[in-house]
Amino acid sequence: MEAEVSSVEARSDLVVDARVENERNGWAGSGANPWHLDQNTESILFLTNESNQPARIGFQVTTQGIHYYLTQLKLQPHETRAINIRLLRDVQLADFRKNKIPAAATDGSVSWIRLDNVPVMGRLLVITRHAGMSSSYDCCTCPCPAPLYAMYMTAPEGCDFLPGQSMQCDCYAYYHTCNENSFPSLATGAATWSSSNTSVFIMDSSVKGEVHAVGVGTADIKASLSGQTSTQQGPPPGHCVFSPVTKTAQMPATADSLTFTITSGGAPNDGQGVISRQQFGLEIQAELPGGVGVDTNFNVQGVPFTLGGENIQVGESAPSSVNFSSGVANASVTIVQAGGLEQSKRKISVSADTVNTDFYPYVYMNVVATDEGLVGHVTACNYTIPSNAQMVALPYGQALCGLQVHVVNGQNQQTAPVEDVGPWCPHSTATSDNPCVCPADDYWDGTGIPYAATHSCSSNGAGIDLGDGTYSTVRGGTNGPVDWKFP
Amino acid sequence: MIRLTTILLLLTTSLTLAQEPGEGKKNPAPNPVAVARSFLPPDATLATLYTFDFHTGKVSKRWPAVLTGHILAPDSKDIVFAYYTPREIHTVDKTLFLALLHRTSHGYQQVYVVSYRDEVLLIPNAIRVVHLNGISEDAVSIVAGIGAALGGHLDIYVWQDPWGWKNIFPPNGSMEYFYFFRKPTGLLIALSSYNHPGLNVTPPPVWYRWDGKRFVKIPPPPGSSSWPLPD
Repeated sequence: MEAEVSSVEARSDLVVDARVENERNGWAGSGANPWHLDQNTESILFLTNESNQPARIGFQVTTQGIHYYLTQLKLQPHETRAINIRLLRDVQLADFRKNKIPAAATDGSVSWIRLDNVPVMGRLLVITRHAGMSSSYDCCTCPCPAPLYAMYMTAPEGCDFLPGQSMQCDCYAYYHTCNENSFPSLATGAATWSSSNTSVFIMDSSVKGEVHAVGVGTADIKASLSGQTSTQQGPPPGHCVFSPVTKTAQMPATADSLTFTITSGGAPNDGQGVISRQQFGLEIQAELPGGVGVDTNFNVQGVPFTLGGENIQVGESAPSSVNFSSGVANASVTIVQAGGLEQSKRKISVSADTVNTDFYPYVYMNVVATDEGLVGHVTACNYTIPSNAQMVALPYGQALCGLQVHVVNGQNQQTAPVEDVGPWCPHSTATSDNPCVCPADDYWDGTGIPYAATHSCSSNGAGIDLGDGTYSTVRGGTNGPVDWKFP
Repeated sequence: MIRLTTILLLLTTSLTLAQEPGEGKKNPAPNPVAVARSFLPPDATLATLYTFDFHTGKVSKRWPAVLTGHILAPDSKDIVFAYYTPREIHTVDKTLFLALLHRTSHGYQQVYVVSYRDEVLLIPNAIRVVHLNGISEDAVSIVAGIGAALGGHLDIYVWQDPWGWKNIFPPNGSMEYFYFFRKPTGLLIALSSYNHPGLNVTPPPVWYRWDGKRFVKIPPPPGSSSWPLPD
């Protein structure tokens, strides 16, 4: 399905016309959909329901290690919804897990997926005032709708109430994409509710999820969704156990879930990042369902450990298996290359008999950065460099224009688009001013080392150029090392 | 990436509707931009020239890269224009073309085109019509390159029958600044890699003088040691 969509940026007269397509029409979804906010940049997600039926949308904003969900996002037939990331951040409204988008967050990713089998188009616009639309991303590349994977139930604090009292429970259906992203959606109204012991709890006959305590004892409250063919793909629907006598509660007991923590050697200020060619420590914990703690009874030897990648580079190392003792396993890993020409994530799989067995660390390149300068010149992406330019150049000659790159130097960091080719490469003819005869140097998809860093033709071995503004923000006006990744 | 510069001699017989007079009307002066547009191939877009305000740090004016001059003969009325193909120019995968249109009694014909694969017009006023002492036809200069970070090169074309455009400027590359000084003794051109990213030391600028027959390399003139020179 295709459409031509016009978008109007509210704080100026910028009108953006862009072709959008439904997923799987051959468009490459970024999978990350990075957003950015600053004085000159807005990030707005446009969603259009093309059908005659309501369409539920799974929606997630990720920033600074926090996952923020909208669990009740539903588009009416033929509705177009604009979700302004700035407004969403600034309203500081907690989601169902009490998470908020940090008020100072300026960068992150947003992802969405349709949960019903109706056509929905979506795209994220990152609009820079002086440069127009800098990014446009379509829906993810996973099949839609996303399959139902699991259920999760919430109740008022502590599930703590006495006979004669009532409480409202909610349940959330978790939909998993092929990229292992979870999108919770409020399913209280759609679920079938039941009590395992109606002498203790009964369910309200008209208000979904409302529980009435009628006697002392223990009972299970269960919510399930029927009619979903995908329910067989995951574990059985979760349940919540309430004990009004002991005033304790347990969340669903289904299967342990792995959590991954980089314990040493990781990227500064990014718990999900590692540095190319630098060994890092990885701790894997088997957590009890509901995230209530480590499963200390989880003792499994020889669990297969796999570092994914099409072409494992020299210098990469990872164990072939790990051993869990009291729910914890450790591994030392070295990754060299990023996940591809345009993305930085690599996949680590721990094939335990649990859920969440995959981990996707970002692989940062550690290279020397130089100042692009050259205000008033034109770049390879046909961008006339303004003063204080927010941009980078990478030494690869094709197809990177407009891709976002996150550049870090200690506490200083910025996300900026690729607008030029350089430094040093590619260059086919030696001149006194650029003696490096070098090919398209996509070192991040190879050895992790820029061509210029190991050849005497270069005076500084730089692997990335920064526009004046980015150079000032990240490097403080001096050449030197930075870490960078595709967000 | 290898820069491929291809020079094509075209014997195009395309006529432009833009200059066809209506019945009973005088032949109007053709609009060069309209004429150039009529020669654009499919999925191409006219390049633009611009001036840059270094005080504000922004482009101050932008216009189509279409110039007129006496390129083939001292009295010919010719059009020089630049375009990109494909139309999507926010990408590296494009080609810059510099085309020459010559006006005949049957209208404009495209007589020559130079292609610069994967290159852009690198600087403000990247295309100029240049008069060289001793040559009655106009020359055309162009500054092109892969992009700002890698620098660019200057070519100066003069028409030579029957071969077409010949680049008479000495080989150069990876330059960032290009200065033209018209002096009584002849045109002076200075090239500099000042601010070339990655260079810790800026090599001295290279100076050329048009001696009436060719561009010759000369020592920096007195007083030219302060770089960059004012635009």
